[in-house]
Amino acid sequence: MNRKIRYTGKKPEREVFEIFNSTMRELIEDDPHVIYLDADLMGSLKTQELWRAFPKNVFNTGIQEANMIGVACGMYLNGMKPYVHSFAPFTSRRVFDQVFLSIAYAEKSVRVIGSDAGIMATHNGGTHMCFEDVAMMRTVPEACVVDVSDPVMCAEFLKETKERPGLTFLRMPRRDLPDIYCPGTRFEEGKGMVLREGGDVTLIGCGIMVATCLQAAEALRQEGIEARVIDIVTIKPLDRELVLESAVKTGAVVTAENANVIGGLGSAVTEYLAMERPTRVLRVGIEDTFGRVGVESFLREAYGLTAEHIASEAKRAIALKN
Amino acid sequence: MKQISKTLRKEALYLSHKCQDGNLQSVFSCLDIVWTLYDKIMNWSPQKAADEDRDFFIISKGQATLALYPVLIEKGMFSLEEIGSEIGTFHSRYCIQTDLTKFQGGIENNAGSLGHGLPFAAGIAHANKIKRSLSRVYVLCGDGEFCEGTMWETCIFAGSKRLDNLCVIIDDNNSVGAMVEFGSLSAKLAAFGFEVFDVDGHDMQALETVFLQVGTALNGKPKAVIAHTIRGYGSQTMTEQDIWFHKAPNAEELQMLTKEVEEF
Repeated sequence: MNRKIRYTGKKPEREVFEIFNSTMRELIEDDPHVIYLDADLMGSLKTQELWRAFPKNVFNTGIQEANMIGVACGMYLNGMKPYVHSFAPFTSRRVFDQVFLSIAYAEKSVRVIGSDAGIMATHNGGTHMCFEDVAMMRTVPEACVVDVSDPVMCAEFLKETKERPGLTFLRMPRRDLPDIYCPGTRFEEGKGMVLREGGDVTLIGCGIMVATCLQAAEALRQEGIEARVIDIVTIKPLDRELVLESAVKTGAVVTAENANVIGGLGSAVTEYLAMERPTRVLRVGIEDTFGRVGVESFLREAYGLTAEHIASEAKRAIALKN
Repeated sequence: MKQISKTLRKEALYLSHKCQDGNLQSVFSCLDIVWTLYDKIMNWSPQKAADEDRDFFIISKGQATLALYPVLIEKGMFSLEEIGSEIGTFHSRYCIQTDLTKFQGGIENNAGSLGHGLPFAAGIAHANKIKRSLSRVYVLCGDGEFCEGTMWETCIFAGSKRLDNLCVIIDDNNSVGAMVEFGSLSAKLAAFGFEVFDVDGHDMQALETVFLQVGTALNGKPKAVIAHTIRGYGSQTMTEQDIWFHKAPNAEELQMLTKEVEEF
């Protein structure tokens, strides 16, 4: 087991928005070329103090995501290292043309952060509840797509990708992620994390569903089933080696994501295994439907993003092995 | 403040309390405008809500949706009890951003992503021109929303299509001033071919007069009414504390703010 893992399932020492603030501060203090742009959602990440402290590095463009992406690309051309933030729907579907052409095709290095990903948009309801961002961003060539599962991971990826070429897309909630990793854990693009070993079935999760997979594995153990649990870390590029090795080892896979199963993590895993080693893969995620109003617990029940559902799909996948 | 202004604000407070969400400062800023339109200006009633020749109200600044529900309640379209019992629950049709897909009439657009309501409104106005319909389109925008590029794309379209049946109302509570040096919105809109009016956005009599002027000026120019407003107007606390941009009152705060509104 990786000693960097200390899953407690409890509230972390610092919430995602807190660690986002301290990490951006650290990045700007270390490198004056680091730029953070926000389109009037600084209040949501509580970055106003950062704005006051670093007026030459932090900018609020007003409500204009499309132009913000373009400005970020121009600043990169002039030697800067831009990070841009808004809610997930406004940094994906709203600005997809700008993201695709101005950033990716034009070979700019820009980190795009989409907060309140998936059901974490809660009371803002369907218009803000973005399940399609993963599918969209996976289709951008050379992109790195990360679904943040823990605040430590958020901090590390912000730092790791500072000079990464092309589009880096981080989707994340602002708070309420359980504690999974020890501070200082290093993450690598395309390298998943094995959080728990087991030989009967593999649970592959991303984002808020990683901790849910760990809960499901614990429930399965009560029934004598040992599940391997993986945090995929980057949905793109996919850790093919780890996915293949897990399929060979356990012969059954369940994926779990807070996004549309069409084009998301479930798609990425099935697409790959169908080619390399056909294996039964059952997908837990949003079943191609729109968002709606609710609190996280309601929405998890409504969309089946629960440990119970993962555990029952794991048993079904095991039964289908033979 | 008029009794209706107080009633609408108290209902908005109650609904925000019930769903534990909402952008009340923004709601209080535009309530008097929305009420004047529905009560004095628009060719609209609950019975006409699905008629082809009705006037349209589009809420482009979606965060002020809790201003629309009280107006529609007072006009008899919805009931306070029904929204109050439903809002914030799992299957609620009522959300702090309006959602057209949940209603048969009464709600004209999906709000939420800013800069979408104005293009939509211009499309309705353009279709009205093609159909030679006398129906008019009123679209409520925030001043901050004019940072969105799509707004200016629409301004070009509206000018070029001579959409004098389109009335853009800007709830100008100087949100934009905190972010960028914006310059004169009035001069910009005039440069895009708009006929621009200025009004006190909390004076219902003045609003009515301006909207009547707007209605008669069919001169090929799209209309812009810049309504000067105050965030949180109607509650001393809310005008002073920006935390009320996005905060829902608890039971104690609901009582305190309701009292403030009553005494405003």
